[in-house]
Amino acid sequence: MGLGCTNPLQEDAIAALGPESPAIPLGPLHRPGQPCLVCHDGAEATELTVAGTIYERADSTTPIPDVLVHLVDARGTAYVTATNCAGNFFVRPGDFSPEYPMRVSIERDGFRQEMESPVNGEGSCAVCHTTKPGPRSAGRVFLLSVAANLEDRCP
Amino acid sequence: MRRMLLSLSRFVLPVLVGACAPEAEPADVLLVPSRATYPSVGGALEYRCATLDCHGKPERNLRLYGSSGMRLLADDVPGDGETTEAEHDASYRSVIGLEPEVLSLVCEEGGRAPERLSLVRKARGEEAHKGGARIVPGDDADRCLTSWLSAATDKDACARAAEDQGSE
Repeated sequence: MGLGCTNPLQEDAIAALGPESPAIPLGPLHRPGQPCLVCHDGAEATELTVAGTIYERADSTTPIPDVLVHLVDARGTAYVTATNCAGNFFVRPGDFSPEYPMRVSIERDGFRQEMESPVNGEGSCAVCHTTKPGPRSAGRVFLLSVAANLEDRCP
Repeated sequence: MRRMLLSLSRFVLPVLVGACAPEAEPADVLLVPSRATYPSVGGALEYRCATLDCHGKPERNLRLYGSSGMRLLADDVPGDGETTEAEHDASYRSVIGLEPEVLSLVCEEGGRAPERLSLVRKARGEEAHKGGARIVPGDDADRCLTSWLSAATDKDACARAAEDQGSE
């Protein structure tokens, strides 16, 4: 019986993401800037607890690799991960399952930026940080002060 | 003839009106907590409740607006500027519109038993709430909210609650 069940809301959300880019294989580099946990729920795809993409600027599509993402949850448990060459970072439940609210800061080359408000329950950055800023989105996650060479290192 | 009509109106009109009236008259005015002091309450709740991933979403019954969350105007962006009076207005209407009759009772009784409100029960985590417990009975945020409901807003508690949430 359970095999026959579907979640139409999730199906719609996945369909709204559009197709995969043919140039990028499934894996850690795919779908930058999209709400990862729509699929990465442990049923549709490998479960993740927190995931997102960090860009050079709010209006840029250039991702920043090697950004440290500091997460501290309501218990005071801290976890650090880093962005890959696509600007993506992700956390698996075996490594860190935050109890919300969770504070987030990002850091690279000695520059650290704190997220103003806490995350209260959404593990996908891109749910609130959509591509375009607007009344319901702060826009992309970005680390403005990075002066490093950001050439594309992805295969 | 005129005297007859007047007599008739004295008899018929009350009967007609009486037929439309409910058995028990409702209160003429539903009581609500102060709009003037709401901004201090909104400030205490902002990071706890009004983030974009919680009640800063238009899908919520309780929609809360704020400078760090959902904005009211199309040109405003989260994280930019201050919460506007129009946003405080919208959040206030959201809060008082959830359970108006229960809210009125709580106000009428000087804020007694605020846990009659879903707003309070959910915020305290005493009722199913996706966000869990966001305030603890007796803490600054709780005192801020419940004192507002009792028409004696503890602005100091509200200020501390607003300050604390930024450093959690």
